[in-house]
Amino acid sequence: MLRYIIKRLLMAVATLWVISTLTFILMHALPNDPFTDPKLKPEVKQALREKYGLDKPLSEQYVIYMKNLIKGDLGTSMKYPGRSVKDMIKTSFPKSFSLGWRALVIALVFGLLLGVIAALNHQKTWDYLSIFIAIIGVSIPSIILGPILAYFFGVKLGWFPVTVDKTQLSLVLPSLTLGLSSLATISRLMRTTTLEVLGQDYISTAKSKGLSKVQIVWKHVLRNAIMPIITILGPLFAALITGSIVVEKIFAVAGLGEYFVSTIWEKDYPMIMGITIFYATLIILSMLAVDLAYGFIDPRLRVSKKGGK
Amino acid sequence: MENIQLDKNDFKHVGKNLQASQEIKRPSLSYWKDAYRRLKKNKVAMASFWILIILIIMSLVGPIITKSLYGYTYEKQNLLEQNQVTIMSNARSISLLSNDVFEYEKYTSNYRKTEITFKNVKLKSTGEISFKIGKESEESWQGDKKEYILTVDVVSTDTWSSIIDKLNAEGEKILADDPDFRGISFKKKGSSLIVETKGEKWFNSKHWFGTDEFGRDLFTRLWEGGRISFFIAFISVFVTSIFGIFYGGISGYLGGRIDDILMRIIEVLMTVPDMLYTILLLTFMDPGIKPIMIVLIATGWMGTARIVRGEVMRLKHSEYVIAAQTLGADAKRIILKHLIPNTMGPIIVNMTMMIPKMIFAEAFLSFIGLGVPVPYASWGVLANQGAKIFRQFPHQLLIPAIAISLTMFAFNLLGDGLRDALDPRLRK
Repeated sequence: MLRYIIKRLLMAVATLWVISTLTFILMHALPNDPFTDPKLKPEVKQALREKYGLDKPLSEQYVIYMKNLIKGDLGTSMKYPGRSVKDMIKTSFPKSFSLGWRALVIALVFGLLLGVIAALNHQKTWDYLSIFIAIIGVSIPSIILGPILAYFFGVKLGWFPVTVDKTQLSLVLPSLTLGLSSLATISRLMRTTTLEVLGQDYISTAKSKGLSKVQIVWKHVLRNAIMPIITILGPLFAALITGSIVVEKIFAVAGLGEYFVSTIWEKDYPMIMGITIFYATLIILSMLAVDLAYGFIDPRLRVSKKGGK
Repeated sequence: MENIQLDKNDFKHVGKNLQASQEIKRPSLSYWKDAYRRLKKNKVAMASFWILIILIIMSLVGPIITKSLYGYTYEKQNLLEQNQVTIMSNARSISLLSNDVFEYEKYTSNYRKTEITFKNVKLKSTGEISFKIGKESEESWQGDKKEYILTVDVVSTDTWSSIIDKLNAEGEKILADDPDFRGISFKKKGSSLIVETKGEKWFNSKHWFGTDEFGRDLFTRLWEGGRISFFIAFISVFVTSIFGIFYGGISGYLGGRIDDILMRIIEVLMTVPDMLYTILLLTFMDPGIKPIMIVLIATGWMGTARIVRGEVMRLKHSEYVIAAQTLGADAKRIILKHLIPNTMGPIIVNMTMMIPKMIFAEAFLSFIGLGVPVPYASWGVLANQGAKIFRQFPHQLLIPAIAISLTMFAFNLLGDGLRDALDPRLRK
């Protein structure tokens, strides 16, 4: 188990190194930089280059960049002098996070529930409903779902605010938009795994022992069927993060995703790099956490890791 | 049961006929024929297949139809025909200008409304009510620029019914000389006051799906967008698959250390979602169709490579591969002639599933402004433009939305069907 954890940690560090090197190469290998504006005077350009260390040789810049990165310094904006990437993340990420965890909870709670109900009512109304929702979730991207939800529930019916303010109610539509595709994925997977578990011998044994349906579902079916869901939590988390870039734009949430889009427009390279590295780190760490948690939760894995090599 | 009399003569030995036993009665089914037979039985997959065929044909033909009929192109603007819809109407928009007379609950104002409802109205005092009918700036939508002001004075003896009579009479008076306008009506229903302008409705025969904010024909733009979206998706998936096949084939066949290294590279690349790489890469390129394809290819090949590697690993110890090796075939020949053709099933399923992902990725990128540049019209661009003015003109979002969703829907269902057909092991 310890060897496995160390291996995974090393992989995570390697991945982070690859990503930061890649971003560095991209930032410097391409001809464009934020100071190619023809209106800038050559002296000003030179001064700006010196200020941001762009006049040093590339290898030296790389060392400085990596050193800063290890210290947790993601650099400062080139368009708005004095604004550091870290501060920006600190102020805007909590807003994205509050949206993200709500979406995750919606997706998990309703996805699991729908999946189990569908499997227990195999080829009945509930089953078809869950398949329908799964297909909808896969086929309607958030760039379309968002505006449509905003129109019908926000404008026509007036149940929810269309843009996000400080109220809890205003978070409903964006969280729903963000969570629906994950909800669909979860309910689809939960349905198949539950069906699989229901066909196992130990379920028949439990039935013949005279256990009640509730007990069978709660003690035997759920515990076994839920395991595969944990493995997809990592990728799901990543999907929520990239998804929130769009959802925040639709519902005008002043979160990190919305900010990311605007920095792309402004071609503020250090900002783009910094936020990308931040997102990547977040995703890698969450995937690592999920994988390690899986090792601890599933007794079969724990035993085989100990008894095996 | 009937009693059948049998005697010894009925059991005659027919003798051995080796030739007959070797004969194949039915034509043998190849893998592909068998798969096609199974796919044909799957009605959902076949329906999806035909929907996709129709969408693709319309993308190819659609722009040509409107070009030959009306001379529209995806970028031809006509500022006189902005924001038209499929069902045209010459009912005029209406708005409340001034009101001293009644109180009402706040109504949600809507641009170009031909009907407004004031809820929970109560008489307040006497004075003037005035409505504005039509809008001078609305030429494209109404076909004219006429604008009317309807004003009524309310005195203390008036009741609700007399006020409504006054309003209706005044409306008839000021609109009397307007031939193609059917009038305005005021109604009191319960505690609500409903004001409605009437007009003729007709099908927009010049712009079947309406126009956008620059007066560009949406029918043309939709199918032109289909061309671009399908083009990007098909080419990216094709190149992605070729690269993935080679990478996975080499990795799986050679195995050992090389496989280890190649797979670690993929693992590292796959840890971060494609969309982040895509955004990062695209920020540094000038917008266009080619950069999008390059980026989608650069970020999409890992999945295919993994699938091919897995299949090749499974197949490389099969008898036919060993036979080929014994006959002296080299690695290149075995991979290309023996292993790849036998992994085509999963590869095709994977390709079908990748296409909607590519279409979605393109739409996503266009939505955040990194996609196809103006005036091109990919589906993502259309959805983005439509989403901006969705509240006033829902059709401008709904039309590309239906196209995108239908395509993704059909490709996903077809992919499921193909998987069942091409990979009998997975069937339940």
